[in-house]
Amino acid sequence: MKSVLALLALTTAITTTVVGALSAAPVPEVTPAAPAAASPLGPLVRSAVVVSGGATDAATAPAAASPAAPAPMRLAEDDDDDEGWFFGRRGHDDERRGGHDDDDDDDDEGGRGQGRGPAPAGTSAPPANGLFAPGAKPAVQTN
Amino acid sequence: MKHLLTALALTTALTAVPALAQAKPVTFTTQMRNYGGDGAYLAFYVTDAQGGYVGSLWMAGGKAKYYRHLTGWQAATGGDTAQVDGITGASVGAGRSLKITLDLQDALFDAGYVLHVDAAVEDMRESPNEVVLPLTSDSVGKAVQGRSYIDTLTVSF
Repeated sequence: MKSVLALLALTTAITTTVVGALSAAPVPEVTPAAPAAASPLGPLVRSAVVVSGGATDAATAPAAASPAAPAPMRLAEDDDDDEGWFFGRRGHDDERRGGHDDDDDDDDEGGRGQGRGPAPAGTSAPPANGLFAPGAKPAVQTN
Repeated sequence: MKHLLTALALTTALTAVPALAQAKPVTFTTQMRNYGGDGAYLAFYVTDAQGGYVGSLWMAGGKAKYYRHLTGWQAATGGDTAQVDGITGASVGAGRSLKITLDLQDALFDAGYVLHVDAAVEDMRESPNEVVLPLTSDSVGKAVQGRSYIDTLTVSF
């Protein structure tokens, strides 16, 4: 009986040691699992698209992290909104804003790298491009 | 000596007069077609004989964010709005006419320069080089047809 108990104790001890060792071992292997490491790439890819925009990003980003693919799509849409009201875009912005007329969006001009709007005729001299006589003032008439 | 100086001054003045006279008012009359859309943005600009951009003459349409649709002008200027400072007016509606009179250098005519007009209309096709017109004495007074939005463009003195 004593030997049986001793054998049982030994078996328990060995099992505990082995199982403990096995259960401890996977922990460091699970930690760097792919999904956990890949998810930060999503935001990185999105940032890259936000900065540079356009089709180039769509070509480079998806291969690196497919979960981030929807983001460029959305950003591309946003970029298209910047097109303004030409070529089938009319009303697109306006509908989102409850029918607000895009003609009022003068403020947009300064923030998109397009620079300021030009000075209207009569408020400044024509450009010195060699085409105009010095001091010339344009006259315009619309019928 | 006094007479000599007077003669010199007179000669200088007479020489300078032609320089001042080397410009004249030139009128560009643009008649738009009834294309069934909103006001057209039009960019009038000049290239030299080699096709290089020289300068802009007029911009119809005041919002810089739409200038990218005037693709020929945009490519030539990079969208530099300073190119049209002081020569920008309103866009031109369908069926309407735009008459611009500018004091231009005589040297602009019969020297290989070419007038280009780009056009763009909301919800409609861009039209770079809607009108291309060599600036020659022969072209003055003759109506030239546009491709899409401009019915006729006439240059006159």
